[in-house]
Amino acid sequence: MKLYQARTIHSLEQDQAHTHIAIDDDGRIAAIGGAELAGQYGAADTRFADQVMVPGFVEGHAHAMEGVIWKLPYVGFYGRYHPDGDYVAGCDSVPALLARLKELDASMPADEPMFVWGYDAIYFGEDKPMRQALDSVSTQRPIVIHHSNLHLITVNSTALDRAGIDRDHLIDGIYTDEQGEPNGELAEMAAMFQVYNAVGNPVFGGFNDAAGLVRYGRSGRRSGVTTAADLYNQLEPETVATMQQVVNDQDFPMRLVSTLGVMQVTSQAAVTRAIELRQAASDKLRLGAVKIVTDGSIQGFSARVRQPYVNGVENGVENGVWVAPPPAMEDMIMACNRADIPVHVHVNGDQASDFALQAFAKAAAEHAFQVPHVLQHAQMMDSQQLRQAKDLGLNINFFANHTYYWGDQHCQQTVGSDIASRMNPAREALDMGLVVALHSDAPVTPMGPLHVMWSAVNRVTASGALLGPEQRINAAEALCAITLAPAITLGMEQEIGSLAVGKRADITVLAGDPLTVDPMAIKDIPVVATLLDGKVTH
Amino acid sequence: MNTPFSVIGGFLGAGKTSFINKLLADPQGVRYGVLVNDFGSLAVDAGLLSGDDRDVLSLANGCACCSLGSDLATGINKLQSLGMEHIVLECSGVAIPSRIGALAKLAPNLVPHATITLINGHTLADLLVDQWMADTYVKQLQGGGQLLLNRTDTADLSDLAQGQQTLSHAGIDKPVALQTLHSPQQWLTRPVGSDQVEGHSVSQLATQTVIAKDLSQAKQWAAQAAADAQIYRMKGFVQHGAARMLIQVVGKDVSITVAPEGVTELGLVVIGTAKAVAQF
Repeated sequence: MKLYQARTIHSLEQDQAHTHIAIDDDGRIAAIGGAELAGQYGAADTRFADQVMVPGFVEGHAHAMEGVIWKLPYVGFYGRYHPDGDYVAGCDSVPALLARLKELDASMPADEPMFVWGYDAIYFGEDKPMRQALDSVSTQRPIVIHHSNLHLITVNSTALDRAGIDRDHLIDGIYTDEQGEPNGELAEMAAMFQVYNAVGNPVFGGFNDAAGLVRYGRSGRRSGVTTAADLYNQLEPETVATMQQVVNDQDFPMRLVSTLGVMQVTSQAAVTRAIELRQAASDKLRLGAVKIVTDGSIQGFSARVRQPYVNGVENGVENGVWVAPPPAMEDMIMACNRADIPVHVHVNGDQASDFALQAFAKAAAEHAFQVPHVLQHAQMMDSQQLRQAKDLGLNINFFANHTYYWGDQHCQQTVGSDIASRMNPAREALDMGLVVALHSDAPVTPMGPLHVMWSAVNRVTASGALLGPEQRINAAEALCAITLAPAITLGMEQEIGSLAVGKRADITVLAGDPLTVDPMAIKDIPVVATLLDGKVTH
Repeated sequence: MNTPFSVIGGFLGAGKTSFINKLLADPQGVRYGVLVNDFGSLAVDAGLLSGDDRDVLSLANGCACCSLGSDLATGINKLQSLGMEHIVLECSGVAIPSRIGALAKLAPNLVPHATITLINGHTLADLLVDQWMADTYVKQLQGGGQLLLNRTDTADLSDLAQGQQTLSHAGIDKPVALQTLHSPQQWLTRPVGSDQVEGHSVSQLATQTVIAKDLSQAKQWAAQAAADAQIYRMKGFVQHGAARMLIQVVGKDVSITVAPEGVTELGLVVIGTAKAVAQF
């Protein structure tokens, strides 16, 4: 038995705050209350006596790729923390980006190809760096910049030469300048693989990567996460074996919920595999749910939207793209529901949500939901869609960080300010009584539930504009949306998500109180420690 | 040596799987290596199987199937290393086949060959106005290479004209040809870039109705039609004693059966190029 004392403990079970929490030898919460517990459970451990305890954060939509991709240097627009704790400043201008690349160039062995990640062209507009800019860094080694959406790369002339790409290419996705010469931007597999075939690719095939998983655990731990999703994984037997080895190790600092990506199998195969995967699960490694991706991303102009994108035509799309035929995805949803397999459905655009709601309605009519199903991202849902989701008993996990990272771009380039100001409508969804979780989709945006919470409470864009203030939620609601609500979406609310007697003692220790600090300061509250099953993680 | 790389597109129900099954069952001496979205939908005759590991399905006739996983390049390399002479990729139902054709560049020694998009004549009109798929479907057909109206065996001959008209109304001015499962190979064996063999478009097709004096003459014409690559199809009825016979020619296949009750009109409709049809 172990008793901890804190300045404040928010259990999320009662309004009243506590100061003491007792944890039994199995890592379950035995009691929660005030100083009177010291009499019953012995002297309190006071190392967190000046700090605030909240339920361990649950990141309900992120990817283990967050750990894998950090094997490459980060060159994104905004600063980020490396999983090991170092802050990497953002490259928020072309000169800053080129300076970073030159630094890396100077530190690398000659002729070794340079791969970096995190870049997003949407922030640079007309000034975005092309082949010539990268040539100013090096014409000795190939340079490959992975865009943050992972659908594009920008490369230098050396990479183009080695891949044999010139103006006579016949491949879709090789963009050219006004003279018809390849400009260094390559989109999608056919074009990107030209370069990967010639100069290698350190990231692909990254599902089975023990070191990446270890880094993912560190990324979660440093941002206060005690349970993280890995929301699309092929989960080949080898990958599962690696996961079991890494995650079940007592030193791995969080629970991992890896969902089976089912975009390339029949519904029958998906059901069989999902059921089979339950056998490989453990207290720390959760398997057995599936993930369907219906459409693309809004900032990538590929989410399925009812109204064409503001800048859609120049981006070669009007209403975005489907990832798979809608009838096939409907069949998948129905088959999984019939087998009581939880389904996470990625829907970014409003039309994608229309489709998913229709499919779930058919599924519910045939077989009442026995397990939680979740609309993931659900960014453009309108009132009617939210009501339908509520009526069907679906849960929602909004991509709250979008407001900050792309809110300005959504107003100007993608969906326009009317829609942008009601994207990720957490206020309305909560008022309707929906379960509302919030997420980062790391590595798309940085792992960090406090930033996600901050974004939903303040709805401030990167330029400082207030975007859709009527959809703001309060701090208590937002704290629930990064703890208990995502635990519900992952089917784990019996075990985690709040601090209640009998639940697992997964706890996040903060240096400040997110419910009482200035709301604009929530994202800056330091994470002091996390406890998993009552044990402080390292 | 360069390996041809062909792409077969089409929405769900267009008949891609049947097309591939037929191809694999009768490859006519070519070792096809087929990349499919999943093995589950392929009903390869068990008698043809000679090997089956997690990744590759080998057939006794030398063909092989590989599941199209996340790593397409690996699949292509695997099929090439097995000595496949023609790589065929089955696209996802929402893919734009012409863009997928560019994937030929993924592997060395692979050259783009045929791009084919199958169309189910029964669902064409509905899909072109489908609430989710309409815009995607138009793009798929526009980037579909050779469009083939499939599943016409049970349909009326006027389907081709109707299909062509439906496409034109949707702003797709590409010729569509008829595909029957009797001969999927023909679409993969023609030379690269020979657009003139898209010649079975309705605008270039001629039809003629001829009346056979007896079954013997009908049989003779049917044989003539089957032997002539420029005659695409023949169908109709001939009097034979007290019965009426149904004559059908599709490609090289001739069938003669007793006509159903109630057939009154006699005559054989011949469809093909104007020159070939004029010989009847």
